[in-house]
Amino acid sequence: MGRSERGAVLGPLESEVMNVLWGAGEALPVRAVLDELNRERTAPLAYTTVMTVLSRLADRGVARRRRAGRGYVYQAELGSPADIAVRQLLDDYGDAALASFVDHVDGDERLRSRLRRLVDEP
Amino acid sequence: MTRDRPLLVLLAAAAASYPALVLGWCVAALLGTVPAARELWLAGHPGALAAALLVLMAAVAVGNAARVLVRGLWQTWRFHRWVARRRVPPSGRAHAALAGWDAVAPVRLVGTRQPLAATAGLWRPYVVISSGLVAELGGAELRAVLAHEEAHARRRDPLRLLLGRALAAHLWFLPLAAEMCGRARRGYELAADRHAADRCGRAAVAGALLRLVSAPMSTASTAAFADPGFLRARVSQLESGQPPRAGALPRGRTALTMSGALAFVLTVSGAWMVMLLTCPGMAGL
Repeated sequence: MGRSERGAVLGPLESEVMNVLWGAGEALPVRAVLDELNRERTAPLAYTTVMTVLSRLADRGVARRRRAGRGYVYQAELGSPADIAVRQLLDDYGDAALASFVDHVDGDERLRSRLRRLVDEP
Repeated sequence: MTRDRPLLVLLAAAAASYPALVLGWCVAALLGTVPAARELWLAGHPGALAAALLVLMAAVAVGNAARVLVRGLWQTWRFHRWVARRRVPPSGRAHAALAGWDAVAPVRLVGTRQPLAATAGLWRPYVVISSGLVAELGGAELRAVLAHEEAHARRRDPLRLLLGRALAAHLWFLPLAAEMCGRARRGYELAADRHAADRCGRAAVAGALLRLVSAPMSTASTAAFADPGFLRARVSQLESGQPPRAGALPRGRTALTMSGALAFVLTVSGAWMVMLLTCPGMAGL
């Protein structure tokens, strides 16, 4: 994926934030992301700026947010800019003129058990 | 459009609304050009106000439908470009799977790790699968996904989806229209699953669903189709072999739709009143 296409999927700061999340491989609080981003910056980013970016990424489904104590921690939901591009494609086009095999991810274990029974049946 | 009842309902409702919308435009022309009609408007006659409301509803309806159609065509074109940019020649497992596949619609492979299977294209639909999907699924499961998408392509479901959305946007004052559009979409998915199960066996379809919902990189919900019960309906259909019964219409939307229909009838009556008062000769028609 070229730079221009990556730019169309993620903004510059969003790309930096996602790089931190991908690099960590685990859920991080806003403060940890902020510290990592500010490590080599001459003009440090504000806490609220990073929190807003993380929140926006979570709203778009690119990052996953869950409560931890009194705050939230964030983790990358998708593995690469290419995956984000596909997600964005489905979000953009799945609604209008695209029929896709799996639109919905359901974490219901009982449903998976029913699917397993169907797979295993003779 | 065999057994596509939701889309037929939408088509019938939109067709039924058109004479009234044309009436609205006629009355708008009268209000703009005929002094007697203008006097009714200036006097605040309820019929003139109702006619103005009808004109407004017609303008929003046509504007909404045009917006959805243009957006759909634009998105389709952009998706074609996206596929063209990322298209890769089938190799390894993808080649083996596609070589033995009696394709009804063209199948295009795109190079991306995200599992993706979709049907795109309005008049000549084609199936798109990603290298991530090929890596995720076994041969039988991949064929089940191809059969599912083939059913979409054969019925031109992307075109139906776009048409349904445009009709629902046109009928914006009837909230059940959006519900009909959603039912149509769910119906297409269930029909495609039945086709895939007939062609490849239900174990293969179930296996593909299981792998994709369990995959860590699986495509998550699209904003407009995050229906938590729908996967359950697909599994139930695979188990029973019968399409699940459509649930009852939501009460809130039904009530709003009845209110919208009543408002529509009232505005049409007002428009007729203006027409009869300004063109007395029409009373004898």
